[in-house]
Amino acid sequence: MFKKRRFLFLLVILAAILFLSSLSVLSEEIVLVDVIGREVVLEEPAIKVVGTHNPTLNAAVVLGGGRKYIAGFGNKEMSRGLYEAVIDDYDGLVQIGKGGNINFETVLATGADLAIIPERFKDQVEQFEKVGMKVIVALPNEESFDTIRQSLTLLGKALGATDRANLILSYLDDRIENAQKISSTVTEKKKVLFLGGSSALSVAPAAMIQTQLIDIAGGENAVSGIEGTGDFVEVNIEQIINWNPDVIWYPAYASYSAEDLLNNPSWSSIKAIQNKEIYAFPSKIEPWDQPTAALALGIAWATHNLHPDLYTIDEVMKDVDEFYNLVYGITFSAERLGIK
Amino acid sequence: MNKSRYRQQLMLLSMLLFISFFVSLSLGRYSNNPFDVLKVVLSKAGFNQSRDSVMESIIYYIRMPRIVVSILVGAMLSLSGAVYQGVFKNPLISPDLLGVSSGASVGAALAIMLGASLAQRQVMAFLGGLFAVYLSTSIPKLFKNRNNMMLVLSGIIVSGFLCSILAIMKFIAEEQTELASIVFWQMGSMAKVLGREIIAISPVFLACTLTLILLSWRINILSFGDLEAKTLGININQIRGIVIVCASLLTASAVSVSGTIGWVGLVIPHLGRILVGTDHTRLIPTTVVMGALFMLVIDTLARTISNVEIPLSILTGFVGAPLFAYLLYRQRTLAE
Repeated sequence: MFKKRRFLFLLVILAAILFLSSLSVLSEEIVLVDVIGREVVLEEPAIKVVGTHNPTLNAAVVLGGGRKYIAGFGNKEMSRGLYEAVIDDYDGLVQIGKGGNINFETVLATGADLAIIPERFKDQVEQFEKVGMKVIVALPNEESFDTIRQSLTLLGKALGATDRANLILSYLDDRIENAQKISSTVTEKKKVLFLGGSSALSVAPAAMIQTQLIDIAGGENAVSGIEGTGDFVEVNIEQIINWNPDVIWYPAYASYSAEDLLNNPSWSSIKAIQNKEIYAFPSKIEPWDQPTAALALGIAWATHNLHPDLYTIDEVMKDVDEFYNLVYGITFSAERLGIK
Repeated sequence: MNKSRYRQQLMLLSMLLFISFFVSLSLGRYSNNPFDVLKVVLSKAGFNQSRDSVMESIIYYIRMPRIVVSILVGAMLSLSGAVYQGVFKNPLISPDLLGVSSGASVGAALAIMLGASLAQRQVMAFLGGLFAVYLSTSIPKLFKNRNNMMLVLSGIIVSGFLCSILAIMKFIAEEQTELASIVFWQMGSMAKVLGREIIAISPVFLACTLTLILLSWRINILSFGDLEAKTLGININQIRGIVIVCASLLTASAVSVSGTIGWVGLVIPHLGRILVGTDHTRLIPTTVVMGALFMLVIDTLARTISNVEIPLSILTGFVGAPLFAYLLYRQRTLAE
């Protein structure tokens, strides 16, 4: 009798274990470790995401082909040219805040199930968690190609879009490899100065992704002696004369133009100005110089700009069409992209 | 202090400014060699055949305009602070008392957001500064109360209101371009000076400084108190009005080219008073030279101590705040 009871008891325990384990299989629990080492458990892939940092949120836009996932936005102007074309009712999309300032009631009203933030806004983690929302820190402060890989892989898992993330990543790797192959044949590297958009005296230091972009394209960042900052820094014109770059790139959305610098006598002794080697980095529909998948296009344009005979503008346009077709199923004219 | 000692001191300060001018001209991120400057000057005068065109461009297009503008801005802010403090009989008043800096910031921010050129930005900052003064001086008229305290309070009201407008503008500004530009402008910098600013602000500097020097003994009487001034037959409102207009024009012109710079207009007049006393006939020339010297040193540091351009308000705060604390301590111990 006792043996029979014990057998029945063990059977119940076994059944309970089997039932519970089957439940966890059914719920497809996703365990993620974000870029600051936090473990985030999602019961199922996220459907609606929010965020205010454009490069961070861009990974979700890319993975959803623009038409999925995005429920709340921050700065809506930076990539308006692209997003208006690929996100349905972009103007009607809720703005939940700007930069580090978020209205959490607006966030909750969107019905989103995941917030995506960069490491620089990591103090928002607690606030999101307090209102009961899952949050992933998806973009580290340190910018590199690995940053983009890490961000796309992480969000691919969170959104249940791992295959698509791998597809886009293999395209990015392929373009990097192609640019490296071309630039490896170049013996003399041009010194490139990458200027910021807010001021012609702000420059991209070594820790920014622009440095890696210049390297891959077969150039060399003209900026030296400024360490440890992942943002554009203000310098004075004498410092720029000292670096004496061969080529100057500035974002197309900058508050100044190439003519402003070409006509400014303070800049006249710089090699790039004397040879009129100053170019707007294409960013008319979206920035191609930020840690996002579109950096693949920045690499293609940069390679052409430094070695036009080795990589033609037609090859760049082919890359651009291929990328936008792959990610969003759409193509843009060279004029709309701001490519001369 | 007797007259000859005052003259000696003023002469000494002027010589220091003159020497600092040449030292500053020799310093920079490109070259710190005074002989490079000498070579350029000699070649320009026809004594030297070898011509370094890069160094020439640095000296004539970059360092020289920046040094002259620094001198003018320092002199203007200090002078404006000194006469404001005299007229309002309050040593804790700075040149942006009537909201000039807030108004100029709103003007500059608006220009940045409208995508205006650097020159247009400077004009809008100037107009914004003067508009703030107009508002601040209109409120007492509205209340039919023209005493000093009312003017100070209306300055606080206008500054507060304009600060909120500026905050709204910053909130809606585009983060990577407009917001960064507004923030940097508010911290003050001479890095974008081209040279034409000298032509723009020199007439204001000369006219206002001359007017204030001519009015200096009347400012002395005003600083004794309204009753004393009336007894001596001074038209208080007229003199105070002219001084306020001159000081506001000086501050608005200065911040329109350099952005807002703290501490200069507060600390330098105090330093001047310690040196030559409260007599404005001596204080005004002394403050002008000391302000010019102070700003020249600060801007030289801003462009030379690091690869990165240091905003001026950071340095004026680091130097000005401890200096002000020391001056207050010294005054207290002297009083004891």
